[in-house]
Formats: sequence, C-alpha cells, structure tokens
Amino acid sequence: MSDHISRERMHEAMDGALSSSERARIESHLATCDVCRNELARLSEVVADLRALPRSATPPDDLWSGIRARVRAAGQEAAGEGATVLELPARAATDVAARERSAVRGVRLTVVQLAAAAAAVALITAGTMKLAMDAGAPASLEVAIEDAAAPGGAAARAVSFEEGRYVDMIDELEQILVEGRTVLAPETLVTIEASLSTVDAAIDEIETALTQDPASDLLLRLLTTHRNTKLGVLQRAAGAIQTEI
Amino acid sequence: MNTGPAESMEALVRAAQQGDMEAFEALYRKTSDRVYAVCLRMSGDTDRATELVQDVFVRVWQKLPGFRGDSQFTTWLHRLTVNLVLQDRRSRGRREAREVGTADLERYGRAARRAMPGTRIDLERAIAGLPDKARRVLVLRDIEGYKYDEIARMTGVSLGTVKAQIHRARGLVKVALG
Amino acid sequence: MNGLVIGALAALTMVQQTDTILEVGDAERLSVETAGGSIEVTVWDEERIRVVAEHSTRTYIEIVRRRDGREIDIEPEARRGPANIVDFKITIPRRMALSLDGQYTDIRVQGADGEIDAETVRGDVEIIGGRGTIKVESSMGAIYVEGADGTIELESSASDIHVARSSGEIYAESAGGSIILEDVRPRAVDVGSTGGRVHYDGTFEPGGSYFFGSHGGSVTIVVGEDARASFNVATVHGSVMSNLRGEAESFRGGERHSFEVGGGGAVVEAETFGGRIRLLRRGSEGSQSPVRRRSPVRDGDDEAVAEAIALSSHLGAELGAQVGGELGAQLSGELGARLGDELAQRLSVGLGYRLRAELSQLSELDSKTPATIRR
Repeated sequence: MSDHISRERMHEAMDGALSSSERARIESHLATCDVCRNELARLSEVVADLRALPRSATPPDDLWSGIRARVRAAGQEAAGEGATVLELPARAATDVAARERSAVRGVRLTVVQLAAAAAAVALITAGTMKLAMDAGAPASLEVAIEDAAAPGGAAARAVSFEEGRYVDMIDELEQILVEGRTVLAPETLVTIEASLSTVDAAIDEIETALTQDPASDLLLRLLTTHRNTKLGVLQRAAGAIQTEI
Repeated sequence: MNTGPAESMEALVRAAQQGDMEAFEALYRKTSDRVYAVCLRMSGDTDRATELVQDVFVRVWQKLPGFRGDSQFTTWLHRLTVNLVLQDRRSRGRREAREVGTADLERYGRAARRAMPGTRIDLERAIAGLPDKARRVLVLRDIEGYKYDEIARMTGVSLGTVKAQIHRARGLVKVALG
Repeated sequence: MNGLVIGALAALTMVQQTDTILEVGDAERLSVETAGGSIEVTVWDEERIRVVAEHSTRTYIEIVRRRDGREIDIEPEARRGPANIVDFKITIPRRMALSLDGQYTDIRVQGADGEIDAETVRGDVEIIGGRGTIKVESSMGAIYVEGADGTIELESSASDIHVARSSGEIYAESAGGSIILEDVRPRAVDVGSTGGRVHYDGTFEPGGSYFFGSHGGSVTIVVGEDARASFNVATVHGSVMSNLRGEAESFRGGERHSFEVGGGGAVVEAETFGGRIRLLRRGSEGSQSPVRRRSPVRDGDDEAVAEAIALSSHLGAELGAQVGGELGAQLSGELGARLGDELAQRLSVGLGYRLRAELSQLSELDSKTPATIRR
C-alpha cells in the first residue's frame, strides 16, 4: 500500500476524533493493508490496557499522622515575599544515599528511557524497536565503570567493564544521538560531533595499534580511558536531548 | 472513630470545613487511595508520590473553607491533586532521570503492585519509565480520562502539543512492552 | 554605542526583576534549575537567601521548599509559553550545598563551602572556593575551579578545564579541550584529555598518586625543586623529554621510562598515544602554564556593557518566542501549534544565549582594541 495511515490519524481514530469521511477512508485502507491493521491493533491494545488499569492505590505507609502534624503546624508559616513557597515533607533517606556515588560511576538508562530519548522526533527506527524487543523482560543496559582512583596506582586504575555491555551502551547512546539530534541546537550538535570525532579517531588509532600488539597494557589502558571519555560525551549528549523532550 | 461508610461525603466535607479534624481524617481515609494512584502514576516515583499525597491533603485543608460545593468534592479533589502534581516540576529532574535504572524501575513495579494488587507490573514500569511530560499527559488522558483540551488547559500547553505528547507516549509504551 | 544599544534593547524588551529574601530555616541545599541565562551564587553571613533574578515579564520565579524544608528549589516558570532566559544572582549562607542545573546557562559560584554540583549543556562554569565534593559537567563550556579543597570531579566534552590553587582529589576529563592544573596541592590526580593537552604544575604529596593521560596532545608535568616522587611514563608513538636529571634527555616512544626525584614518595604516571610527554623542572623553558583563564562570567565590567549584555539575552529570548509563535501560527492546525511551541522554546533560549555570547565578545573586542592600537 502506497499511502499508509499516519500515526496521528491512528491516534485520532482511537480517540474517536475522526470525521465520518476520514473514518471511511481509513476503514477502507485497513481492509487492504496488513501493516496499518497490525499497527492500529497494537496501539489500540496499549490504549485499552492503559484504560483498564486500576485507579486507586493504597499508600505504603500511613500518611495521615504526617498530614495532621503539618495541618496543625500550618498557619504560622510565612516565608519569602513575592514568591510561592510551599513546604514539602521529607524524602526517604535512601534516596540521598542512592545519589551518593563515590568510586563507581554508573551509567544507567533503561530501554524505555533510551527509546524515549530516541523517539524525540516521534520516529522510532527498526533498530530501536528491535533492541527493545530483543532485550526481553526487564530490559536494561548497565555499565559500571570503576573509576579506581583509590590506592594501588596503575594496577588499580585499570578500568573494568564488560566489553559487550560497553559496546551495547555506546550503540544505544549513539542511537539516541542519531534520532534525537534534531532537538539539539545546531551549534550544540556540531560541538558534540566534533568531540566525538576526536575521541573516535583516537579510539581507531589505538585499536589499529592493538592489532599489531594485542597484549600491550598501555594500549588497553589508553583505549579504556578514551572509551570512558566517549561514554561521558555521549551521556551528556543524551542528557541534553532528554531535557529537550 | 465514628465515621462509618454510611456517613455521607457532603456531611464530612461540611464538618471538615468547620475545622473538624476527625471528619477530615475520614475524608482522607475515603479518598487517599484515589489521590495516591494519581500521584504515583504521574510522578512515576513512590517516594515522591507519598510526599505529594501529603501535600495534597495539606492543601485541601487550607482550601476547604473556600470549597462551595457546586461541584462534587471528589471532582474538586481530583483536580486539585492533578494541578499540584503538574506544578511539581522536579519529581524526577534531569539528573535523577539519568540514574533511574532497572533496579529502580523494578522496585517501582513491585511497589506499584503492592499498592494496586490488580495491576500489570510491565505496564506500570513502562509508564514510570516515560519522560516526565509524556508520562503526565498520558496518565491524564488514558488512565484518568481527561479530554485533550482539558489537559491542554491544565498543563498550559497548546492542544497540538498535548496531542503530540500523548501520541508519542503511547508509542513509547508500546515499544517498552515489546 | 553602548547607550544606544541599551536604548534600543530596552524599548523592545520587557525586563522584570524579582528580588526576594527568604529565611534559610532547615534548608541545607539550594537547587536551581533553569534553561538559559546565568546563575551567580555568592555568600554572606546571614541565615537568609536572597534571590535576584532578571527575566522577561512572562516569566516568574518559583521557590519551593522540599524534603521537610531541607532543600530549597528555585525554578523559573512562564505564565504562558516557555520560561526563557533568567539571570540569577543568589546570595546564600556559606555552608549551603548547591545543585545548579542549566542548559544554555553560565554558572558561577564564589565562596561557597558546601558541596557543589553544577551541570550545563552550553555554558561556562566557574567555581571559586568550595569544600567537599565539587562536581561539574558541561558539554560545550569551559570549566574553571579555583581555591577549592575536596573531591573535585570535572567533565567537559569540548572545552578546557582549568584548576588553580586547589587541593584534595582532582579528576578531570575532556574530549576536545585541554586540562590545566596550576598551583595545586592535591593528594590524588587523575586527568585525561583526548584531543587537548595536559599541563600540571603543583606539588606531589607523600603517598599521593597522580595520573595524566592524553591521546595526541602533549602532557607537561612541572616538578618543583623539593619534589619527592617517582615518575613512570610511557607513550606509543610520541616522545618523552625530561630535564629532571639536569641535562635535557629525550626518548622515543614504545617503552616505559622511569625517573625518580628526591628519593621517591608520590607515584606519578603519564601516558599518551602520540603526544609528547615532558617532565620539566619548574622555571625551565616550557614550564609556564600555557593559557590564561578567561572568566566566563564577567565581573568588574563597565556596568553599561553588562547591562546591554543582559538585555540582549532577554531580547533574544523574547524575539525567539515571538518568531516561533508567529511561525507556528502561520502553519495551520495541530502541526502548526506544535511547531510553534517547539520553535518558541528553542529559539527563545537559543537566540537569547547566542546574542548574549556575541555581545560579550564584541564588548571584549571593544575594550581590547584601544590597547592594541596604541602599541
């Protein structure tokens, strides 16, 4: 079929927001097009599932005592002129702890988020889709790079990561950049790409050298350093894309 | 406590408006599950959701005297909850968003299941993993049932953008479910 | 010319100032999140926070207490459309921790003793002082840290990182920029640049460990007379040059070279792929720090120029929002509305920032020109 139904039309169809002529046109298209029929079926399934979710949830703790205390204390709160000031309660201490990462710098993105960032332009490539599906159940890519600045000097500095995971992570972050690039300001994109090509050139050179001298720990260490840098550049780029969408 | 289920919502609201703390507690008991569900899904964060529930009821207490009863209390409460969560721009800011991992989403999924025994963990996780804006509008549209134009008004974003965000969010959930 | 610029800009832009003071209370951390403009934080001895912000009339500043009042969050919001460029000048008690987050945002912190976490996409970051953990990330901007003591972690994708008169542990990483550590007394260093050079001029503490890496750029380590350290350097294709043993010595790459001064002590390592490694006695030729820092946020400026620069960003922001909105309106329907919103957001922040940057450069040229001409 040459003229598939646009994504927007599909959503409108699900929302019952189509005119009768449009609906007729779409229905006749669906009658002959498997691709659109499948797509619409999958989307409607998602929407139906969402609509079927329970709409009440029991809070984990009894929040009443906290509310009562705050309600009673309220009234004499006055802070900040000319600004909206709300008093909000404590956050679990674990949250703070979780944010305190010392020796291990972890890069964690879920596939959902990766896909989210990648889909910035509402376009999801087959690659991303495949990734999300291949990854199976709680899909996630996780790389923990141990930044061993700790005692031990050179030996401890050796950065450890799983090759496969590193490659996956880089691939995914690059994918985010490819698909989310249009949300970035042109100069930002140019700079990011310049940084990446610097790092890529370095990595290429080192990898070539490694084919001559595969056991060189100097080369391996250099490779790790620049890969690490590349991860940082891509991670910041993905972060910038995420804040834009 | 003498407020059984038989006690009508209107009577409780009237009493609470007069400063009756017991009546207010009864209102909280009757409605907090609904409020928590909204906060939980819109924030995608269990800790933040419990904070938000408390904020909501503190705000309800403050605003209750002005509630005139020309709409249902539950409708008013729902709207107040949504507005408060929408104002909460930082439920999961950029810095944290980057650090939400599988472990966090799994923990979230389990917490969601405890809070809503009948729910689908994979779907809850997929919603929680969405970008903030996308998650909020999706929840408002497809779970809470608001209309596009209502959402546009509540979020202060154009109708077109709201639609685009919702469409995108559905697509992302679809992808996440695989 | 400046007066003219201001006049023209002021006529076109509605700039508003928010100035508010709030009690610190139990707050330990101040968090600011903004899209574009600048965040300047200084300290005072009062237990209060003063927030001065310049922004367009569409924007207002929301201040929220969180975590039982332990954190105060500041964020610009817009009555309609995107919140755009805001210039913050914030004064806090010295001990407060800071989280500063921006996109097109220059960040400057002076005198704060608490933990600092600053992140920006396109903007420079300058931290003067600071204790504990100092963490800075910028995709495009330069990072300058001075007088800090603690765990200092700095990352820039494209620009230079410069640390002066600081101690503690220094970690820095730049893909495209150089890394310069000057007059520092750290007990641990781990810095690496891919495309730029690395320059270290500081002490080597007993038991400390120091690592310097570069791909193609040079690594220069300046060693004081009283230093006690063992140096272990290696390069694949570059060269090694040292005058630590008196006479200048040069070596080809391919093997590891060790030098010891003062009977060992600290462990110093340098590695490159193609870049030259130089170990130089302080004061010898080439041991001077290669670049002078340029303050990202201008101080002591001609006030009129500063004002013009501030105004330019607001003007850019307003123009951007307007142009974006109009463009959107011309296109019909949903697509138009969506495009309009996106354009307004993107243009307002982007244009504001660009105008500001360009004007800053112009004014800098302006102030430099007479001196150059006189010579």
